[in-house]
Amino acid sequence: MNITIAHLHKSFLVHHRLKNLFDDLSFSITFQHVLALLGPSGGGKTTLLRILAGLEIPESGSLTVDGKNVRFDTKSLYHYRQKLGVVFQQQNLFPHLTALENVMLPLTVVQRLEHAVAKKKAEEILDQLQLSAHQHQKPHQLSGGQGQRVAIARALITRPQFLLFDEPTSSLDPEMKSEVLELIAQLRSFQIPLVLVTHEMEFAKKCADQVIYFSNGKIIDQGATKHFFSHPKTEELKRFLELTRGVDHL
Amino acid sequence: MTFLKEFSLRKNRLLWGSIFLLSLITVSIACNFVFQASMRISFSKWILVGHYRNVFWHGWLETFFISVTALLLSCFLGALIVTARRSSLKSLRLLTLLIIEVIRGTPLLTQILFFFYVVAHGIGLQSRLATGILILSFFSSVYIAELIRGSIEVIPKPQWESAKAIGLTTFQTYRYVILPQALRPLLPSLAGQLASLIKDSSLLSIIGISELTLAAQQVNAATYCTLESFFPLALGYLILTLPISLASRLLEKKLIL
Repeated sequence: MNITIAHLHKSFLVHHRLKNLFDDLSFSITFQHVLALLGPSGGGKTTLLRILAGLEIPESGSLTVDGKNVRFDTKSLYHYRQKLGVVFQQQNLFPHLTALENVMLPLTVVQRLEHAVAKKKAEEILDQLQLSAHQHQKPHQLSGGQGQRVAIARALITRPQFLLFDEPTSSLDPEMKSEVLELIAQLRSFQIPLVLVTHEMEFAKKCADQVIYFSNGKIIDQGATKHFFSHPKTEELKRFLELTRGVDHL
Repeated sequence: MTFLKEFSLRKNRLLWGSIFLLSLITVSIACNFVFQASMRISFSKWILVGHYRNVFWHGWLETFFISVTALLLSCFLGALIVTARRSSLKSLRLLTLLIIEVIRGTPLLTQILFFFYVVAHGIGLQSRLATGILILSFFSSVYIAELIRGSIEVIPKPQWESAKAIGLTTFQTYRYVILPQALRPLLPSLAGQLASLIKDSSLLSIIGISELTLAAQQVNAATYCTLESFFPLALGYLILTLPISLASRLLEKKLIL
């Protein structure tokens, strides 16, 4: 799939002052399975993901997904969001519904499928992700890793055009991290492209086919994963990779 | 060790002994009160008030009707006020805030009189009952609106975002995600507010609505039996308020996460 962004502006109010995050950001990237957005905290990767997810509206600029221009009015964004699957850092699931009901909700409410059909589909996907045993549990009865896996199942259930994950493992302990990362690696078989914000360098190296590195709202480097990790372009990127390599080995 | 055991046994006995003694004293004081009170109760007074049971019955029916109507209306108005309070229009938000502050900051009695003699008169609303129900609902709806707003606003932001991300509309977000979560913490305070509403309906007697309190006042004026006239009044309100607390508690248990 292809994502093209041209002349994007986005600013935020920080302590009553307008701070520019993206100032004339432009890029175009084509990838098959996984695009990883990397970089230090506050660099703009999560904001970019939120703009891609139709949750944040830029002041100006354009976003084109697979040749189609995304319009930023409320109604168009509402339809655009229905074609995506998003997973946040935490608290994705609705606590008053069971895992199964959580996964069914987009089908019964948004797609207006019949209850029995939606239930069958949801059970199938939970089975595929080895979550059948937990389908009648409420989110507070699930472990952090199981919760995120159910959230991924819910994102997948509508067969979205592409998936967007915002640091899905950052709030988990190492053991649960690996169970979620393993699942993300398996997602290739679903043939749905994935944009992933992550701090897991080793994982990005293994799974992503394209990488964009952000810092201070600017793209420092982008390209195929292999080349990106073996030939870092700038000194800053080199330092970042060395630092995170150290962290990954800890 | 045996010493310790014996000590704890003795301590236990001391505890139970003092509890027994205390309850004995309490019971005897209570018995004394009941005895004193029963000396004052004369059955002839109860029988006299008993003749007016139809007045009580009609008053209670009126209170029941006012309560149920105002209860439904105030929940509906409360939901409307919350919507206005959370609107994206700043002027609407400010106007709602002003109304909330005025209604919460002034006595219901003044509001009833003002609404009855000024507003209802001005717009040509003839029915006392309708006027009473309207003002009571409006008064209560402001409190209900703030209760609803409070329970909505504690729901964490990722819940709203997740709902938006899976493609729910604003209405669907409230219907399937926010309200089911907000309802449980809302129930106890809502039940309290609704019980207050029922009791506040007694103030409508001031504009001559023949509800339960007015009935009790009339019976008292006719018989001079104050205690005997107002005791049924308390009972009449309890019959209305208790089911609400009970229903709320049952619902709360059902909604447990």
